[in-house]
Amino acid sequence: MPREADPSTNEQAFLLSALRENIRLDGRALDAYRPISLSFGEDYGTADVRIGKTRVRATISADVVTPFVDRKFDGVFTISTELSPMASPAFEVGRQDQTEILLSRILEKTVRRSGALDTESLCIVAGQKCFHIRADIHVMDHDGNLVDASCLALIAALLHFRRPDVEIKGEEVTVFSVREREPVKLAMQHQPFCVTTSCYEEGTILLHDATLLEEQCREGDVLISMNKFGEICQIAKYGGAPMDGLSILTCTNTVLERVKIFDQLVKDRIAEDEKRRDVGGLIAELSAENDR
Amino acid sequence: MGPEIIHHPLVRADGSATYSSSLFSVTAAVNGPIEVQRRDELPEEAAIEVNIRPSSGVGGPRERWLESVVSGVLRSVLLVHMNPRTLIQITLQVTKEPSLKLRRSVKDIAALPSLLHASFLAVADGGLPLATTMSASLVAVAETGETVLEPSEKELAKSRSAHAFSFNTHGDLLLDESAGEFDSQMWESVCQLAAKACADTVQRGEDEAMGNGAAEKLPWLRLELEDRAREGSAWRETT
Repeated sequence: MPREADPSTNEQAFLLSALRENIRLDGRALDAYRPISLSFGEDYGTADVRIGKTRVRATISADVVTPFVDRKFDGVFTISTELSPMASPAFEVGRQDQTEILLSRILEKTVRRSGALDTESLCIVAGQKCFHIRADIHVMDHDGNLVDASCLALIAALLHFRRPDVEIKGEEVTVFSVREREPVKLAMQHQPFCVTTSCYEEGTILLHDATLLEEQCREGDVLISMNKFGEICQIAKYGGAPMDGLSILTCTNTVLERVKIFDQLVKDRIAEDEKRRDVGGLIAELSAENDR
Repeated sequence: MGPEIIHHPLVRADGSATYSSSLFSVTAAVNGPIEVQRRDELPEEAAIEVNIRPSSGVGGPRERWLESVVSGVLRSVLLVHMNPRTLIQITLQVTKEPSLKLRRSVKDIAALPSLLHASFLAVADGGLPLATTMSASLVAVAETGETVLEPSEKELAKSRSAHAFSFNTHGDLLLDESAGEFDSQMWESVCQLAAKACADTVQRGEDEAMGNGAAEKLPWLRLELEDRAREGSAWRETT
């Protein structure tokens, strides 16, 4: 199936006329999200995010590689987003479509280029060895708002992940497996989240967390990424109906509120998970990490 | 104790299942019969496309090989001639892998039963026409020559050879893949063990009625499918 089936004219008209009366088909407020669930896997670094029917799974893995020649003191961090027919039959294997390109570009800008992960801390021996942190985004179910869900899953997984501990004695490097030594958290500098705002009726109606049907009917969208301090990492608007500066400003204000909720959600879940793993309160003693 | 199974975990796919054994955890999604690309179209039967996605990294030649093996087995399980010139698309997402370092060839063999069970359960969930029920099992041969059915990670890591078998309800062999060193006599005994194990998961033992159920392994696959069928036809009884 080369593309998603378009909604019928009746469906579209119904949705739009409801929106004009500030009503969404699932009864949510315009800026409300569907119920969000965030859970972690047995291993470190897997996060499963569900926003309504949309489901995204992020997996982080680490291995030791040689750093890039022009960046001797930096580790490598890559994000891979490959959509599979599992999410929707419209996605083809081995062919990048618009959704995938957009998703990977936004994640790249939000998380990698904003310096959320401190890549310098991944360096083991300058110019010779560093960690390669790899993030895989697996979209399991696609019912709209992929970008927000993927970004949330990615940040949660990065916070949850532990890389193997290393010891350097002169020229010799020992990488300890999880069984030998308690693994170390990644050094995160801030936690950016992405929030998509969809607009209808030439920017007069703005809503958050559009479902697939709402996405198909929208006139345009603005993707804003920021952290809980209100520092904007990126604003992307790829075509669609024009928006004036003032509505972008109101957008960023509502996004900030939402980002604070996301940040709290991730923090709470991580704390819960740590508590669950910390049987008998031994983790603190096992850690070989130095205080900064 | 059977493996953990979740039926229909996904919303968008026509059929889906999550299968977790002690070694692997696989989520399978089936879409079909759907429109097929001209170059894959078969005039008299449905084409089967299998995609395997590892939990981290992109698939390589090994995944392609596993895909071809899985699609070969599914071809003999599905009634492909019922939907000619269509596509049955199966996506398998591996979500858990053994944490111990295993030889790649052994790991691939070990993955096969989980991949097959996940895809079979998803196909059954998607309501695609099936010719038969199938079951797969993994057998490892230890250095001592001892055969271990459904080995643990440690047993696999220390094994001399690993064998994956699949049989249908009639006891016909659908899949035979092996890795490691073994002779034909060893293969014979391993095959018999696997055939018995596969039959146990899909058939009720004849002596079950006699009450020695404790030693008997439960036919978990059959029970799962019966449960699903009962749930599916529940509406008929209520109306």
